[in-house]
Amino acid sequence: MNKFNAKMIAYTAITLSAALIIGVIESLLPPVIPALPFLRLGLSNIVLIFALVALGAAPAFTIAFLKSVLVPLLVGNPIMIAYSLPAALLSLGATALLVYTRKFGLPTVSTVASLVHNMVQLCVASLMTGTALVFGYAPYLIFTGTLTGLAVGFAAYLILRFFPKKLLEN
Amino acid sequence: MNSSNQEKRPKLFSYYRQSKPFLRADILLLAVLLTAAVLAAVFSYTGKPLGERAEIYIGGELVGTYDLNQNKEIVYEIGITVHIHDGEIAVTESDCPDQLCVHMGAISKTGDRIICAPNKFVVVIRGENNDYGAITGRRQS
Repeated sequence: MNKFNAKMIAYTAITLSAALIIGVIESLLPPVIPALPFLRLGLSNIVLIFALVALGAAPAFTIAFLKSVLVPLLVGNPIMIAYSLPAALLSLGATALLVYTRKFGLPTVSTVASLVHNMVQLCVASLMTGTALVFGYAPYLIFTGTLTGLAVGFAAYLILRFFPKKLLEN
Repeated sequence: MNSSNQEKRPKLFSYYRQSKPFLRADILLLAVLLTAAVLAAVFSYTGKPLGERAEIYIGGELVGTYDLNQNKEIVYEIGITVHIHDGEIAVTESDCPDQLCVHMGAISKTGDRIICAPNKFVVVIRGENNDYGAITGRRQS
C-alpha cells in the first residue's frame, strides 16, 4: 500500500478530524482542577498513538502538526499554538521512539509522552514569561501527567486492540 | 525505503494489537515514573505555610513586592488587574484570550504562583523566611 494513496489520505483526514473534535471538546470542558486550569487530560493523544501505530509515522506527524495549529484557531486562542505545536511534535517524537523499540506497552509510552508534552510546555511558558518561576508547576504536572498518561495510553491500547482490522486492509 | 515501510506498518499494528497492555520492560520505566509521580504529589500537596508577600514579575523583571495583609488593587498597563484581599492575591482581570490566570483564582500559600504567559506576567507568594528574601531585599533597597 503506497503511503500517499487516496486511502491513506482519507484515513489521515478522518483521524485528524477525530483529533480536532476531541481537542475542541477538551478545551470547552471545565478544568479538572479549578486551581490549575491549564491542566488537560490530553485525550487527543489517544488519536495520535492510534495514528502512529495503525497508520504510520508520516500520517501521525501530519495529524499532530495540523491538530496543534487548528485546535487553537478553532477555539479562538492562536497564542496556544506556541505551546501546542512544539509540545505535540516532541511528545509524538518520544512516542515514536518508544513505540518502535516494541519493548514498552502503550500506557507507559503514553505516560512518557505526556511528561515530555508537559515539560516542553513549561519550557515555552518559561521563555514567554522570561522567568524560570513557571517550573514551580512541574511537580503538579508530573503527578497529573502520569495519571492521565496511563489512562490515555490504556484507552489507545483498547482502541487498537478492538479496532476492526478489516478497515485498515486493502 | 517505501517497500520496507509498507512491510513495517501492518506489523506494528498487529504487534500492539496482540501484545499485553504492559510489557516486561515497562516495569523499570513505570517504577521510575510512578516514583517521580508520588514524590511530586507529596511535594505538591504537603501543607505549605501561608505567605507574607507577593512578588510580581513582568517579562522576568521584578516590578513590585506587596504585603498580603494590606488589601489593595493594582492595575497594570499591560492589561492585568490584581487584587490583594485578606492574605490572598488573585488576578481579577486580564486581556489575554485564555483567561487561565483569572481562572486560577486566589492564592495564599508560600510558593504558589499565578502565571499569565501571554502578558509575560507572574505572581509568586513568598514567606517571611526563605532563600529568596535576601535577593528581593537587596533589589528593593
